[in-house]
Amino acid sequence: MIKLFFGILFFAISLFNVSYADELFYGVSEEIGDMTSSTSSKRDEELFLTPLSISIVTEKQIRQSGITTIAEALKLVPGVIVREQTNGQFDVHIRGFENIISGAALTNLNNRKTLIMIDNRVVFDYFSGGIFWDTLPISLEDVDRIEVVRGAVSSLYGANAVTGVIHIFTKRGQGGGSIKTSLMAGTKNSQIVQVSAEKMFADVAIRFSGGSEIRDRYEKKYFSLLDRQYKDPDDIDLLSIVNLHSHSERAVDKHSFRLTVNNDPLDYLNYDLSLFHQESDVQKVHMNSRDIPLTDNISNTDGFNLKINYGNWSTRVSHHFGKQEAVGFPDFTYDTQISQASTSYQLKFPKWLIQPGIDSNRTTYDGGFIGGKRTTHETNYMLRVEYKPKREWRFISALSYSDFNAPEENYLSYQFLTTYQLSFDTSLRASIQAASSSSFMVNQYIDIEFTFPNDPSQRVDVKGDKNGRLSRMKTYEVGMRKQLDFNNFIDIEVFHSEINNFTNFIIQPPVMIDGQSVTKRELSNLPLKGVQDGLTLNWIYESGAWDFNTFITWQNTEVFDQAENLIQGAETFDEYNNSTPKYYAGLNMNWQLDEAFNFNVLSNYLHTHGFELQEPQGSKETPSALYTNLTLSYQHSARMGGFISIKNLSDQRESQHFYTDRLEPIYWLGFNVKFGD
Amino acid sequence: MSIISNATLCALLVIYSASSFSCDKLSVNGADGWYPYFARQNPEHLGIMGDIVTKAADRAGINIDLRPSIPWKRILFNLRNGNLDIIAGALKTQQREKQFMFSSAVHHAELRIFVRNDLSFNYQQLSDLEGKHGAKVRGMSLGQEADEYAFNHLVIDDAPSPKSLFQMVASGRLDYGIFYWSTGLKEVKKRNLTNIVDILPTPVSKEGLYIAFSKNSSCQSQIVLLNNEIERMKEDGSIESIIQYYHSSIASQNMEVNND
Repeated sequence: MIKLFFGILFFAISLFNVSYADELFYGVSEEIGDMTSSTSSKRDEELFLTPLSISIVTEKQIRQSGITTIAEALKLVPGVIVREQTNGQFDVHIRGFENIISGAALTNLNNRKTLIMIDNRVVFDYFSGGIFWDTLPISLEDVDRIEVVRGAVSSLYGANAVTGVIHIFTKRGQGGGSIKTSLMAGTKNSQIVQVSAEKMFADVAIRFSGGSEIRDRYEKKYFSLLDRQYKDPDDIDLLSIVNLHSHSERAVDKHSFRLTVNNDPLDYLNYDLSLFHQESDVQKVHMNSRDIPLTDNISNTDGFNLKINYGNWSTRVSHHFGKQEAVGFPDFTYDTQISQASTSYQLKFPKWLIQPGIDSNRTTYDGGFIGGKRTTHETNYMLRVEYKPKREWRFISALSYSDFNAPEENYLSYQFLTTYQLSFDTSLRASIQAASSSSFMVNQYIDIEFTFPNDPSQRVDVKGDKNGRLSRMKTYEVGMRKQLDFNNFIDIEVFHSEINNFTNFIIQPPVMIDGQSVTKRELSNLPLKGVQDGLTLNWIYESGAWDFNTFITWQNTEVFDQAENLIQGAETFDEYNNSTPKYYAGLNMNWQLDEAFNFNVLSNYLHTHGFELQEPQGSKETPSALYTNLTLSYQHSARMGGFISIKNLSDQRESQHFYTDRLEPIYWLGFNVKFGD
Repeated sequence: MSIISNATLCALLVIYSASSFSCDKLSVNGADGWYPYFARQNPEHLGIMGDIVTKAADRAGINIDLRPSIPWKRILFNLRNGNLDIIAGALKTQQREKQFMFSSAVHHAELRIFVRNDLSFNYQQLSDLEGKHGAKVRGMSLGQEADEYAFNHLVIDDAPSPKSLFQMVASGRLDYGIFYWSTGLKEVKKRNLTNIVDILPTPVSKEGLYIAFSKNSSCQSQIVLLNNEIERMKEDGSIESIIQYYHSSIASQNMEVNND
């Protein structure tokens, strides 16, 4: 396999070795070449030379392409699969590699293997694992840029950074004083209001922002898992859910507020405090319902994030707390508290950079499904070392030893990376990385006897295991960035990943107890191993008024020792897994017509792929489809502008996810105005 | 060496001029904010390199079209494509020589060390920086020899901009910053750091400054005339007087810095 990687890499190098560029033009791409990333190496460095596969989405790109949510902005990123579940509610996976356990529960569709961070604060749900995009306490207006690292990076950011990290950097006050308002309205009763105000007081920058968003679903019907068809809510016989939400047509209803206070980040002692609050009520694929794929989740959380840097010391503490409620699942209402702390130092010597650090994550959930209040904590001891034997050559190793209170076993994550600047316009990178997930409350502590509310003859007993092992992934990767000439830039990555150490709830044959048919499910180790090989090609063309960003990923996923429907004692088998599309691609074309008008086309292609869940949820095949959005924006002045956007112009009416809403075209109109400096 | 390079340039210009079209004026641009080498604050004075070009053009009876401020990389791109005739002030590298024609060196840029005044130290040579933590602006070269020494023996970070560099020096996050002497002096003044930041007297390195000409310009005959006039200005002391004008301006700034 390694030979194959290098073969492809050298072929690619020779293919593009006819270069008209010189060092003058390196990074011409006035935007790309001058970009820096701080996620890849935990410090600022040129994007061109970063050792990991990384992409950056800027505020400008988001604005030009008519994006209306943070998750949707990831459609601009190579190697990322973004699927819409309901209007404005998205599911995001880096390189896919998802749903590879055939016959698992609906909850397994959540992405448990990508870490999301906002300004270094991990935003992750440890209930059953996953990203709760709806509970992010920021609006799109707060986003400065999003950095997406593809690869196993637990050694830098702790557990769950298995397939990568999505790091959102938010805005700070920029001096002077201003108030900015953004209003957006679309079909399907979609309305977004965002307001921000900022002011400097001496050397302290204060910024306040708030956002409010409501959207209706694409359709009123739900897919009945029992009847295998879309039906009106009133016509669905509920088996596992007590009741549906009273506003079944509402997709998203959320609000957030945020206050940031900081001094100059270049000061020897600098601080950055953010306080936040969010409330949301969103329908999404979340719980293991036997009735419909969508569950209504109500969230109400508050918190703070404080960063203090003193010279080369960096320290961060955060705490957030609140309540989550899955409507219709009375046992699954819970309080949550997550505290994080980290500190790291940078030691610099000629040719050497040493970054030791510790971080800690303490998670407390209090809910009936786990028998009351439960706490898990994870401490990561980290060491990252860079060595440059030559100016063009760099070696990096990063180790992280994760100590969990449960499971008892501790885990070592690592990265061994090298970068080589072949010439002024060509950089190569290679890596071997290993990462692990953390455990989740459901896996560890669930111990319930669940009698179906509308069919008391059936009962499911589910039992977790706090010492259940954690899944691990190893990734081998080589990549190349090349500035072909003033206008053209390419980034190629070839990757091979292996994932194992899975656990899941193995189903035992039903037994009759006290007149009930009882099915027991216990968390058990699975022999399953997933292997993925893939290639991502990103070509960027910039020519003043015209910009093209084109990307495509090809991947192949195989699963070995798959257990049929997770039934105890079932024979295992090997299979090709089609949960991740074999091909997925995107094109973002931007045409700056003049100083005021901008025209943007954003297209995303997903090759056919499928979902294999346990009965009665069953399976689903999603056909190949191309989704296209058009956006025309007009900037009247630095203070005023607007846009018109048509989403899903290609009129694809299929559900992109597991029997979620069938999409429709949607039309948006936006207006923004700024007062002050 | 200078005679050989001038002869080569003239030969190249003659060859290119054979295919050139008539043109009314020469388009000029430069790295904005690179005071005193190129700057636009005053329409009468475009910095040392800008003034050399405008004065030479004036003496040779050539019209000049000063192009608007655009990013440096785009300026280089335009020069390569022939959409720009002249860059008033550029460093010469082997790569650039393949793409452009250059005048002989008309001036030099001096890199100096900027320190917080309570952290000042004696600097005579690069080895005096060992054990200290410095920075330069990302992408800036210290000169080949100094770059090599710095890589092997020094800790020099990259700052994203001159503003960040001087702010980090002033806040004590760095033991020193390396930047162009006169440009840095202006930056220090602009940021009200004159009470905090000092400039050490010994330069880190000196790099020759050149006028760069497009090989694809349609105004090759005018370029030949302009380059010849620049050479004459070197010989008759006109360039030196332009340099002196700016140096006296810088000296007065320096006095202000020291007196503050």
